[in-house]
Amino acid sequence: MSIFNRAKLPDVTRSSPGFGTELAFPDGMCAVQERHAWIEAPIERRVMSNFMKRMSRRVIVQALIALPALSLFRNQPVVAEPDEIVEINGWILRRSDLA
Amino acid sequence: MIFDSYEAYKRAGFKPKACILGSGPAGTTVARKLGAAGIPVVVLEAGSREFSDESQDFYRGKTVGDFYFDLDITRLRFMGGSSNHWAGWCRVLDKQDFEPKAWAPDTGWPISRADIEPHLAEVHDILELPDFRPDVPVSDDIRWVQLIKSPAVRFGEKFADELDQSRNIAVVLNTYATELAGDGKRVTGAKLWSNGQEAGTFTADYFVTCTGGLENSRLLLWSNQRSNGGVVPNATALGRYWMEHPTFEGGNAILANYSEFEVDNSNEAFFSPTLAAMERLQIMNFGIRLIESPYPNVKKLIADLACTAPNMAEWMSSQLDQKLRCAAQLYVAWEQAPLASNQIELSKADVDHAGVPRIELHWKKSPLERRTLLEGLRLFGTTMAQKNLGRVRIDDWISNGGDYPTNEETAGHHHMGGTRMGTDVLKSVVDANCKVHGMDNLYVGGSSVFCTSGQCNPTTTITALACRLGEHLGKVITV
Repeated sequence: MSIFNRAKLPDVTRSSPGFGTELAFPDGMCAVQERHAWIEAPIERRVMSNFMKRMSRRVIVQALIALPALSLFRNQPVVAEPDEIVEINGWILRRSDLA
Repeated sequence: MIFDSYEAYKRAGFKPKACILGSGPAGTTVARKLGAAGIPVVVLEAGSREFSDESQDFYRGKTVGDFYFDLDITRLRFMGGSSNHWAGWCRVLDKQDFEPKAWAPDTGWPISRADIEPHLAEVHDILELPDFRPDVPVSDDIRWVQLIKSPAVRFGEKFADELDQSRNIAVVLNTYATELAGDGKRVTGAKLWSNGQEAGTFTADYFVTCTGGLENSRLLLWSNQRSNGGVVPNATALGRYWMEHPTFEGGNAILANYSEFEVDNSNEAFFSPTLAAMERLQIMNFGIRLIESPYPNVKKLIADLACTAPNMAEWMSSQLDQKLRCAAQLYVAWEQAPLASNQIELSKADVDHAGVPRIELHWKKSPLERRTLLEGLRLFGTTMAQKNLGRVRIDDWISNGGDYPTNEETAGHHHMGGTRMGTDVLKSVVDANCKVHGMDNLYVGGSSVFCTSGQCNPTTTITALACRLGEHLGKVITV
């Protein structure tokens, strides 16, 4: 499970006293993880724990700041041709008519 | 010469070489051509100079299948025939209408458009037409075509004086042939009915039936039955491949520029597909009649709004005390696929006053035509959108595959086929010269010889074919 995905879990941040934002999430992560049943595998806990120890707080914060940029690397849907002809509710239109 | 009865005609002692049955556009045109060639010809007209309920009653019949007009409403039985209620819309069948189409069985004529073109100048004189302008391509798929609204020539009125003064043409009113007799090679005579009673038999060297797109089949079916196949020896196709031009409102359009297409006095412009588009989509020919909004200024805006926000437009138009419709209306008329199952039969139960079985018309529109309607509108709408000329909305019943409405135009009152032209005696009745297969002296004039219907009104082509037939007979008949 990635850091990104965990950060999306609202319960985690809300259950971390004093941290109201996702950026603040890593500080309380270990303690939070202990309280949540969704991390059950001991090996994962160990791996994550070692990972967190090696990462400086600055690196983690920089990684989190860069997260939105990851969307640039996702497969983008094909942008529809504005001149494409579509039929909607009987109307024969250009795609651009729908913008 | 015009006679009001067969008795009066007989007393005149006129000796015709040819007998033409019917005085509509085809019959009158053939007669005028023969008369001009110096060939004495008699025209038998079942009705008189005016409409009468008594005469019209002979046209009653029955339709089986799709909804269609009463058969005594959709045609007229008096001098001039159905030209008396013709709207005057003119256009000649397209070149492509004469060509066989691989995706539509039994299409293609034994003649081409080039065969009737030499007669078009004469047709323009007869129908009082200006020259047609060439089609204008709107896209690779759609042509802007011209359909001329002529003065609607009433053949009986227009040519009455000329026929009356002619020494070679005798018109006999209130007289017609209830049946032809034949021996499988020639028509040997006709049994006449005049002024409400039998009038004996009549003979001529040549007979030309020009009684209309329904009645030609009826007369020949009945005659053939009475002569044991002696009038139409190859009768497999007789009465079959009957066609109309189904016509329905197909949708609306908002136009980007109302001056893009020149419209006629009725604010109408016409569009048809290219042959390439028909071939690609495997559809029949069609004609889209775009009726532009007649409204100016604010009314036009509200009418445009009616396409997209009908409730709002209705409220606004009510404030103006007007009933405004969506900007432009689209009507579609299309070519029917020629089907042997669309046919004229003789009623087994009902006869007219002369004892001739009435018509039972079997008529249904085919799935290919339904596809032509939908794909044709899509084709037009796509061209309008691609060229940014406007936007088209197809009516729901067409998009959703609903039933054909029964409260609309339905069809064009165009009766075609039944004695179609061709080379295959199993699929046609007359040859390229309109002569009945196997018969030496029997010809057919009018739209019943059409092999396919194209998308345009038939009268112009009927008249052109009649000029061609008259010219042919002028060479065949020796005086």
